[in-house]
Formats: sequence, structure tokens, C-alpha cells
Amino acid sequence: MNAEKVVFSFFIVLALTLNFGFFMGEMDDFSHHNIYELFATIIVNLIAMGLKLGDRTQVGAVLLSTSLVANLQLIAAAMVWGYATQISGAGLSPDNTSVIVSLSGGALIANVISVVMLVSETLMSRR
Amino acid sequence: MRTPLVVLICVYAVSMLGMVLAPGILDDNGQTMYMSFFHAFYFLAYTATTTGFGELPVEFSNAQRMWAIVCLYISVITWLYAVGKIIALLRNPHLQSAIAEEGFIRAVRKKSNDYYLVCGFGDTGSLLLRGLTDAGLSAVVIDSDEERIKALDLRDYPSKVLGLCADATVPKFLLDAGIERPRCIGVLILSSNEEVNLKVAVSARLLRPDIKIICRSTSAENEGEILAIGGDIHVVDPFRVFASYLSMMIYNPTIQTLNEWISGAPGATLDRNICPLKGGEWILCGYGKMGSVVYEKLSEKGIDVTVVEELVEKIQHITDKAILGRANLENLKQAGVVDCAGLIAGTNNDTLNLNMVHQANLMNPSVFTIVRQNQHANEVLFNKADVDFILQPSLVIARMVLFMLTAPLLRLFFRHLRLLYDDNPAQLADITNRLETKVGGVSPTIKTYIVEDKKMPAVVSALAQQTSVSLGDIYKDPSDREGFLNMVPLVHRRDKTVKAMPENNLLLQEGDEILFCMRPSQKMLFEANINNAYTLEYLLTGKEPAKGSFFRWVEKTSD
Repeated sequence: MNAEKVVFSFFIVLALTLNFGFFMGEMDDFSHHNIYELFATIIVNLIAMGLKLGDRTQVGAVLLSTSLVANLQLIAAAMVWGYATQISGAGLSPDNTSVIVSLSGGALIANVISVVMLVSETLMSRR
Repeated sequence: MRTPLVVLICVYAVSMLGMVLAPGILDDNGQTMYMSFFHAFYFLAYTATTTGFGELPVEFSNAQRMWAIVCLYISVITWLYAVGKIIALLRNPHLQSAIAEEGFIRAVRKKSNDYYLVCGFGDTGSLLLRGLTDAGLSAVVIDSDEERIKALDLRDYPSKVLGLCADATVPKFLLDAGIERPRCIGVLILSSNEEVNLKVAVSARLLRPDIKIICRSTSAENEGEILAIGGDIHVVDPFRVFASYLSMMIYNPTIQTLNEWISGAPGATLDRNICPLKGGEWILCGYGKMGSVVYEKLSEKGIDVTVVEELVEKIQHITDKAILGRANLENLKQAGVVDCAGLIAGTNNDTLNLNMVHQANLMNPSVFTIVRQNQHANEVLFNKADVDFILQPSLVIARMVLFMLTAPLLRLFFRHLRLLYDDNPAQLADITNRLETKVGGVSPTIKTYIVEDKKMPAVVSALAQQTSVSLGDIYKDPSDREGFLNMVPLVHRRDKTVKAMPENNLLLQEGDEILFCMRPSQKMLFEANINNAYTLEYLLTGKEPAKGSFFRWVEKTSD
């Protein structure tokens, strides 16, 4: 067993599971989506991206790019939330909610790709 | 081309003029209407081309209709005549070949990978091309036979092979095929015409003084002339290659079995020799160009050969070892077929060869028969026949040239084996055993790897960091560091120093060339070893290296 592998996989898988948890529920009802979960998703995704930096292999490059995509989408979702609740003053409408949730759905796909690559690379190395 | 155009213009002019002059029907004011030139041309355009829209723009008068009849017949006939001429021109073989040549030149110019120029696309050429394209190399073909170039398009080669139907002795066509382009890395001259081969070799050398040339030649004097051209030039004599192949098979079956196996001959495995017996008495049928070389080679090795040959003038100098006549029952019996070890049916006639093998089998079922297959097209017959071994000269040559191009180190490996055979047969058996246990199966992958940044980036960067990498390190099994992948390094070359069967503890340097023999399935794993710095580091140290910058930092601080 390799401590690096454990930490690395932990963060990548946690990024996916948190993201999935936030995404679950009615698209336009924000009572199904917890803002603290979104916060946690963003933080864990950023950490995962940090861990991926510096890998010189091809697989490493693709893993990093999936993290970049996921972070971009999640931060966009957070900005929509911030605009709706803090700037517009109108509060979260079903329209805004569905935009936030669908952006996190996109990030979910990127995280799925990341985990699939992680698992297949581990299986390929056969040790 | 000029006549039909002039005729067409004249017919149009006369018809249009007639239509304009012919009086039409009366208009509302009782005035006679005339057709304008535009309408006359419009009418003729659809009449002459047999479209026939009718009477436009207004109904015709009878006078106009009469002239329209004249116009119709004349113009339609003229049109057909003109179109026929134009089509005939397009079908002109000279024009077509000019168009094909232009397309070929453009395609060659666009080629972005290295390629060989192959002159002569016979049996040998097509077998060689198959091997070259399978090995990921590219080629351009020139042959004077149109049918063969057409056949080239129908072959399902892994990559597109460009072909031009042209006489390769004309230097212009060599230029068309891109001989002067730096992407052209070799010229392979394989036609069966000696004179042509020599001419092409000379012009190729003049056009590209530095290029590699491999030329087929069957006569000693021609060979001398070709070699005199100088530079990086090799001559392949199909008869000599074939004869040494054959004699090697009888004299030294172990090496020949290895050769067959490495060439990936169908069904060739290492666990049994192709020719189960060594030496003994042999009968050679056919003492032509090839037969005489075979006889010479076999006699040199002390193998007892009796020749059966029809033509008396060919066997005058070996009368005591030869029997005159066709290879029929009687003559074969006289040559001692009943208690001989084997028979070589080596005439240049496939049917005769098969027939004599059949007869020999009748008299002596245990005789080992080697038959020469001249025409690739007769494959079906040979596969059906009760023959122990089929040798195809074109295939032997194609393989030899292919290995000269793709694995030049292999030659050195076989030279080593031949020396071993004379000095130390036990070691030869060890090599065969190692190959059998580590690689085994059929059709192994033979590939040369060079320690350079393009092929082995991981190894080169490890060497740059003063890490010593040994030969054994790079082919360790990534899933079990103690073991090795299913592959065997055959030859290692550093500048002029060549080592066959190098040891695993040999330290690598940049620029080394290593020839590996491996199971096809292992190629991907091996290439990961030499490409991926992390995998190589694991193989070298046994420790999984930290991949990301963060983990490297953690590793450094915890030390």
C-alpha cells in the first residue's frame, strides 16, 4: 500500500461523491440542494486539482484537465448563487436554481471521467 | 479536337441564321414576327441537345417548322459527333496516364512520412510491400505493368501505397516518385530484368548520392557492376540467397528453424525442427541457375547430392554425380530415391516439381521433400500436395530485404548463431531454449530500439540524471519487478561493437541499438517501460515514485 495513492484517490473520489450529493434532487427546488454541500464540493475539487499538479505523464495531463473543467463549472454555479441571493435581491427563483444545479451536473460528468481514469490506470499498472 | 468544334460552330451559325430569317406567325397587328437571335440560340440549345421544350416563345409558323426540322437533324448529329470526339479524347490512354502521373506526383509531394521507393512490383515486390506496411513503413511503387499497378489499389495494405505505371529506367519517373525528397529513405530495385535493375541503380545513385539502394541481381558480372556504383548499396541474388537458405536447412536445421520462426512463417514454431534430419543423401532435381548454386553449397558442407537434370550441357562437369533425364520414376530410382534422406524439387516449373514429389513419395514414403514454388498463384496446389516443406524464392528474398530494412541487426545475430553452431552447439541449444520458454508461440515481434529521446524518452532522461540503467532494467515486468517481460534481447550494438545475446547487466548509453524478440502482446508494456518515467523509476528503484508536485514536496520534507 502506498500513502500517496490513498490520499490521492480519497480526494478524487470524495470530489465525485460530494458533487453527486449536491446534484441529487428536483432541478428547480433549492430545498433539495444544500449550499454547504456545494461549498464542500468546491473545496474538495480544488484540493484534488492541487494534488494533480506536476504529473508529467499524459494521463496526468488529462486528469488535471478534468479537474479544471469541474472547478470552472462549480465556481460558475457558486457565482450564480451569489448573484441571485446577494446582488439581485430577488432571492433564489426556480430559474436560478436550475442553472446552479445543471452547472454542478456538468462538473459531475468531469469528476466521473476523472475517477474512471484513476481506476483504469490503477488496473493497468497491475501491481 | 479542332474539326468538331468548327463544325459545331458552323452548324449553329447556319441554323440560327435560318431561324432568324424564317418568317413567323402574324402578331396582333397583322405584322409578321421574326425570331430574335437570342430566341434562335435558345431554341437551338434545347433542340441540338435533344431536350425539346417545344415551340418557344410563341407558336412557330410552317416556314419556321420546316427549318426547325432541318436544324434538328443536322444539329443533333453534329452534337453527337462532337461529344463522341471529346469522350474519345478523354479516354485516350496517353491523356489518362498523364492525369494519373500528375495525381501521383502531387500525392508523393504530400507524403509526410518516410518512405521507400520500390521499382518492380512482382511477387517479391508485393510480398515485401505487405511486410513493409505491416511494420508501419511506407512505400511508393513504380512498375511498367499497368495491371500490377491497378492491382496495387485493390490490396488492403494498412497504409495507402502510391503506384505509378511507368518505366523506371527513365530518370524523370524516379524524380516523379520523389527520389530527391529527403523523405525518401531507400530505393529497392526488384524487377526481374537485370539490365533494367542496373540502369535504375545507376540513375538512383546519380540522383541521390547518399541514399540506400537494394538491388536484385542474378548474375555475378552484373552484381560487380552494381556494387561498383558505390555508396550504401546492397545486392540481393535470389538464387544465392535461396540456395544458402536451402543448404542451411539441410546442413543446419536448428538455425533455419529459428530463422523461419523469427520471420513469422505460418506454423513455424521452435519446439520442432523443420527438417528432422541433418545431412544424409539427397537428390536434387533441376540443375539450372538455382540448382547449381544449391549443389555447390551442399557439396561444400559435405552433403552427398545426386543431381537429376534433363539437359546434358548443364551437367557436363559433374557427370559422376548426375543422372541425365527427366525426374520420372525410373530416373529417380536410379538416383537412389528408395534409400535417400530427402529430395529437393528445384526446377522452375511448378507442375513438374509437384509431380516429382508425388512420385518420390510413392517409392519412398519416408523421404523428406522440399519443393520450390515459383509462382505465388500456385499456392493452392502446393498447400494441397503432400510436401514436407515449400520454399518460395520470392518470399525468401522479400523476407531478407525486409529484415535488411527493419532489423539490420538480425543479420549479425544469425552470423553469431552460425559461428556458435561450429564452435559451441550446446550454447546454440541454450539460445533456442531461452527463446522457446520466454517467447515461444508463432510469429514473434522483432523490433530494434535505439536509446534516443524519440524512442526511449524515459531512459534518456534517467541517463541524463547520471542514473545507471542496465539492459535488464528496461525489460523488467512492471507488475513483478523480480521477473522479466516475455522478451529476449538478441543483439546490442554500440557504434562498431556488436554483442549477440547481451547480458542483462550491460549498462546502457545513449545511442545504443538493441534488437528485441518478444511476444506481440508484450510490446505495449515494454514501450510503457521505456516511455513512462514513473514506470522506469519504479523498475529501477522498486519504489513507487511520487507523481504530483505536492507529494514530491511531502516526500522531500519527510526525508
